[in-house]
Amino acid sequence: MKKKGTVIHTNSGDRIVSSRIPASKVFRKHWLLLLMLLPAVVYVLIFCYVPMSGLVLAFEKYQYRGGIYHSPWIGLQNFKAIMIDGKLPGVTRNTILYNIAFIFLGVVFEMGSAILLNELRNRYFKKIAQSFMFLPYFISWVVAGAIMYNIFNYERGIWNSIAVVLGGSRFDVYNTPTAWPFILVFLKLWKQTGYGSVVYLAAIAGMDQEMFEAADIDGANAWQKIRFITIPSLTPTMMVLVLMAIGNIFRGDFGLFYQTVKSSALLQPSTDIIDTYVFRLLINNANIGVSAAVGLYQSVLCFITIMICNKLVKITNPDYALY
Amino acid sequence: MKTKITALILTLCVLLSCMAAVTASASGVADLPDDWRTNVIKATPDMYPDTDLSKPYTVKIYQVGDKPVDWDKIQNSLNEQLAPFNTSIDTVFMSWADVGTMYSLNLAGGADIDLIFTAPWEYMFTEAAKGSFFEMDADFIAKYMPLANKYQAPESWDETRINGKNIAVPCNRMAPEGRLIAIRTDLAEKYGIGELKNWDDFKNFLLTIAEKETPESGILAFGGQENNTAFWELWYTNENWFDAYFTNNLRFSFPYEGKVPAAEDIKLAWETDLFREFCREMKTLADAGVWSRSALNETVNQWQAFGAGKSASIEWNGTVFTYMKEVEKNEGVTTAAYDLFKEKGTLVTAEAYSNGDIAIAAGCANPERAAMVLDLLKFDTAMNHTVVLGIEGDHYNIDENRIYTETDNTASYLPDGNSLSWATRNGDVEKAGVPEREQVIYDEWKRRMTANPLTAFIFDPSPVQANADAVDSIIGDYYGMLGLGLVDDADAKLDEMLDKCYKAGLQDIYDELYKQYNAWLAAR
Repeated sequence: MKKKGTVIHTNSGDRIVSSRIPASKVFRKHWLLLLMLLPAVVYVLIFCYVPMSGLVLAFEKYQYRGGIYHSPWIGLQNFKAIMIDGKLPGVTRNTILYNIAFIFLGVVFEMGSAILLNELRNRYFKKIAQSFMFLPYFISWVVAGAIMYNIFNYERGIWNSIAVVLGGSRFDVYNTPTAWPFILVFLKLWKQTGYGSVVYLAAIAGMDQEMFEAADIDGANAWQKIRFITIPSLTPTMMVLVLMAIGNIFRGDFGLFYQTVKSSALLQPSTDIIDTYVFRLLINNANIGVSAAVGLYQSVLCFITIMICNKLVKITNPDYALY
Repeated sequence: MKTKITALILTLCVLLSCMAAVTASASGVADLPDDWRTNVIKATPDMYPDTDLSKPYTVKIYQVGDKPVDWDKIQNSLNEQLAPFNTSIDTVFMSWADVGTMYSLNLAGGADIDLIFTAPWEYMFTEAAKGSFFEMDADFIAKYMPLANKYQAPESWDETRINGKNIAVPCNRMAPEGRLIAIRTDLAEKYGIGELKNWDDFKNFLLTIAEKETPESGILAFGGQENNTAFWELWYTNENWFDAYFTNNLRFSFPYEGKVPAAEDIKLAWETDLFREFCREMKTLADAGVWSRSALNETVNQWQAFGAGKSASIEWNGTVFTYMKEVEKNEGVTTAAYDLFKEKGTLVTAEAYSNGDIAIAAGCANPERAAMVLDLLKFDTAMNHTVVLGIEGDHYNIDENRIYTETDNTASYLPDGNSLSWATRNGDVEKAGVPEREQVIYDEWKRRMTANPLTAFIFDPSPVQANADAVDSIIGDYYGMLGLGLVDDADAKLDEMLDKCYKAGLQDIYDELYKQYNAWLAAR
């Protein structure tokens, strides 16, 4: 006979079946922990759940007099407007492709740099290297965009000035759409690698050192230790981070795309993402309903993606699933 | 006896002069003089019997543009003048850097707004379509804005009237709005270039600077940025094209031939041969390096570039003189402004009244009181002059003929230098001692000034809103690169844009526009 209760997966992979505990008992026993959880719950409720009611805007012709809840209902008209526009497939494709590049190259660079930093023996060099890698994280995209413009400006930019002095030719970055996927991926990695590697460094620091000592005794070299101990031990951390990132695969880094590309229509075919598209619809056309419709489309896609990914992970390795 | 007669004559003279320059503070508006341009209008609370003034109320005004240095002084002065009305004002400025994002968001976000500046070029019709503005019918205006009801030019109301109700109150001045170019004459002389009389002369100047000066000093021939609207306006004006409907990127125009056009004469401006020719010409200039190849991403606009001495020319309306004075502060720099259409005799468009308006926000808690403040700012002479010119004796001096002169502190509050003044100006004051180079051009413009016969036609795109938004967005994607000539093949790119526009329903917009226009024509 099956025992009634909740199935809990432990970190070690064991499955235990607990009998149902009354909520009041849980509250009494863990009130302090629940109290600590309260601010996060309130935050999520206010900023993530309450605004969801605004999704009705996607089906309304927004009028200030009626506000969010009493504007005229127009069904799928706003979605029709998006279809007429014809830009949605392009911006969706760009958003996915950029995020795939950011996620997978991000993992490689972040994990790689964490492993390399861990292997460094000179304490001072390690600290300096880590600080320099971390520094770009604190530079806003506005500043990064301005720096980039001053480097790559066609007439006055540092890059082109040096190129001309050295007898080379100028590179017209701002009129070359094909260069931008590489530029944007480079900028993203430049900014996030230092910050992202901290999580992996923390995971490496938490590894059982006896494994490495045993490998030393067995005569393993540095690469073998990385390949057979460090990387496999980092896999759970990587999976969680990748899963969380995939959940946002339809949500672009607005700051990166808006501040570096600005509103250059010439570059849009290769740089326009859902977020910049929504922003333009809202600001240029002041079209709140259509913007909300695109926002809803983006959220639904994100929801579907994370559900599918979590399911796939659950099938292949339940320990790595988010829920 | 002789003394008595002299005293009598003097008394009569004083009485007559008082009657000539009537200071009208009559309790009823009907008693006010008809000519507000020469008489001083002094409003009193009795003129607003239907407005409840029992409780104090602060009218919140949202302006566009940067805050003038002495605005707080102006606001304090206005509040003193509004004290008898138990009312005060408080003003928020949405800076030029922020207004593009903040304007709609402030209205949508439910900010505490009573009065807000608006214009067709500042979201007036798009916001009106969303119900952002309080709609005023004739009764409301007669009841709560008695001065505007009496003095506002009757034809001006038509420019902001939709379905029988006014969404905003336009300014009350008709003035020529011509196009000018200004150039660095020190650079022109350096390369042997004389007076510029037409587009070809100007083009020659631009190409010469790009070829000879830019490589040497880095000074660009023109500070092109974003979309080169400036040059397009120059071309557009040169051929006497007027607007039938112009909001965001949707611009329907017609060639003016002295009469109201037929519906089929109205075309999308970007579909005309004139625009195609313009795109080709801009490509020629871009390829020659007249402006930066990075212009689409440039954040410094043409005014800033010219004022800072980084470019050799500028194109706009009469404001070019401001930037000419700015760059002339640099040693050895001289400038000149040219009207490229003088010889050709091209028409100069009369600036529409609706080019500067104030609307009462739909969310205004007290529209009657907001209307009263707007009425006072527009037609109470003292308050109006405070808004338009500043504080007398501090920012300006004025004589009995309403000719004003500047003072040492005028720079802290420039005449007609903020959006509230653009929307409340009446054109009753004139500046003394206008430099000859400016006066000559203004006089010439007045001679050629022609009013657009379609300013009172307001197209309502709501029946084809989805198509209009899509077409607007498509044009927005292409306009910048076409206007700046940053394309490989101007014709192919323009064809691509027009093809997309038709696929997005441009024909439906034409059909709706023609339907409404023909109905308007029939009802005229």
